[in-house]
Amino acid sequence: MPQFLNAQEPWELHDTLCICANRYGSEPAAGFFTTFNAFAANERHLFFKNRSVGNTHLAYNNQQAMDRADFVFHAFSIGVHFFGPCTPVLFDLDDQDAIDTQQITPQTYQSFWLHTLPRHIGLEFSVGQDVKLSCNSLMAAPGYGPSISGVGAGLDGLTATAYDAGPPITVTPAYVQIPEIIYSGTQGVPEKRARFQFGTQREPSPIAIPRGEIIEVKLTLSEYARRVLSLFPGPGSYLLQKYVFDEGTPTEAVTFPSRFGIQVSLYGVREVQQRGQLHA
Amino acid sequence: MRYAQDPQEMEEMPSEEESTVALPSPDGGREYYNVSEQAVLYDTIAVTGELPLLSKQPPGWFATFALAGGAVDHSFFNVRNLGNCDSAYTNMDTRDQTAFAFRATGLGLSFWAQTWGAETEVATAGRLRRHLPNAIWQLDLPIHASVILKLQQDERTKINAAMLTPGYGITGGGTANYCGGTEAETAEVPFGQCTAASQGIPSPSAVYRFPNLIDIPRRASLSAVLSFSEYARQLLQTMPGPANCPYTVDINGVWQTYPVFFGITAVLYGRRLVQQRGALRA
Repeated sequence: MPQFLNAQEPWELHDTLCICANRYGSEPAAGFFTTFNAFAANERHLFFKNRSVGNTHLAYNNQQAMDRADFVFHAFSIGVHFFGPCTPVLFDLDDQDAIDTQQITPQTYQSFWLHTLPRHIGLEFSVGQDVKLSCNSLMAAPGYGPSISGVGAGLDGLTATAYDAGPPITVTPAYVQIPEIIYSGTQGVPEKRARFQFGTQREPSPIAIPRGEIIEVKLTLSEYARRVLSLFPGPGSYLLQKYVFDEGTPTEAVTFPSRFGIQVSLYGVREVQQRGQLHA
Repeated sequence: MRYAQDPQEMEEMPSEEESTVALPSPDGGREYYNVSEQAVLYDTIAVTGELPLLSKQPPGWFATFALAGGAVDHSFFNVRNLGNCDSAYTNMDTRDQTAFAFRATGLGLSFWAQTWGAETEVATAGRLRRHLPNAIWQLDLPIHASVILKLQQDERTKINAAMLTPGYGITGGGTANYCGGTEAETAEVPFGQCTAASQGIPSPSAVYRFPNLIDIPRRASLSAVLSFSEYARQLLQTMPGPANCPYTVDINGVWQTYPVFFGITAVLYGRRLVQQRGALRA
């Protein structure tokens, strides 16, 4: 009688929620919101429940089954990553798909999303009917993400006359608008071990997840977070090009929707029967 | 199953066997065991002008810095629970007695605020704005505060608050000044700044660890009491706000704002001892 053994392989599970003006490909409505307002309308957001590689790109999810564990999995750590565009200078288009050139203002909702919102969300990780972890979402840092940020100064709505009293600047055309701010970052330190670990390095006590078991990560927005997010327009678009500088007036703007998101990941070891092998 | 081990990351933790506690058998036959699980206990005090409008108004929260500065001390772990506070800010099931046995390995304290530093009382361009409260709160206040961790009648830790690095937080940001608005407003530059601040390195390895485990029995009275120095209290009582953060200008040139939120979260790291549902032992 041959002996069949599961092989243990390092693996990770991830699932993602996005906020973007457009949905691309087969991205589902469940968890892909088009406005902050729609996102804030839900108090609770569930992960490992709605999406799979069937309806979402692998970048956002790597589950075969939407709401069941595909295989035996030992979760060693959990992380939540709040990500957004690399700049707070984002634009909302009007009905004519044009931008209001007079209203170039850095949008605080980019830094709010990356660095403030995680403070206002509670996290619960459940396996079956048991709650394995209850914490603030920032305490489960992702262990990855942008590690540097640019420090920029954006000049907005200045005319050459208005700037006469300050440092000399020579930019044409006379009506200068220079939105240049890069701001980014992550939660915790972008280092693999800087996540919420189940156990320690010396004494790991991973969460064992049977095959076919229900797993769920639930993020609960506080009332304050929901109220603030419901105020925000957007998420807005990158301004990839605003002017053709040879011309005196603003010409066609080149924009593209920015994308905010929350990605939950479990790092660990899976147990699978390798194809074509009696044992690994 | 064998797991990779990194000697540099070894920590003084009880082994799985050590932290599995046999309980008296209620039916005289089978043995019931508590299971040791990695866990955190956390609780938060906050200062926000939004407080009167919240459906839950957690005790120990304040609507102004002045009120917070007027309090002699601030308690954690014995004031709020999930019934009167959102789960983002606390995970205490019980307000004044611990819900389960807990072996505490470390204590962290996180001072946090919004990263966008501009605040305004009036949502109109050209009005007074403030830039410093979020930086003072996150960077200066911890130095001027102390914490006492109390378990039952004992004081287990008495320490400066800045030493209690929280072990988590944010990375990135930077500081940016920028001009904004219309030509008429250029005299107001800078009207905002972004400060992504944490106390210490926001990594689990950087949390303040107890030299020895602190065993907290179930149904024990537990508290961490934060106390500001007289200097810090005077500073808070002088500081206006919190107010609102401007985030955009509408088509009429009117600022839109949202209320800002300042908080201090205390976190106890360790392992809880619980009986898993449906299992005699894990």
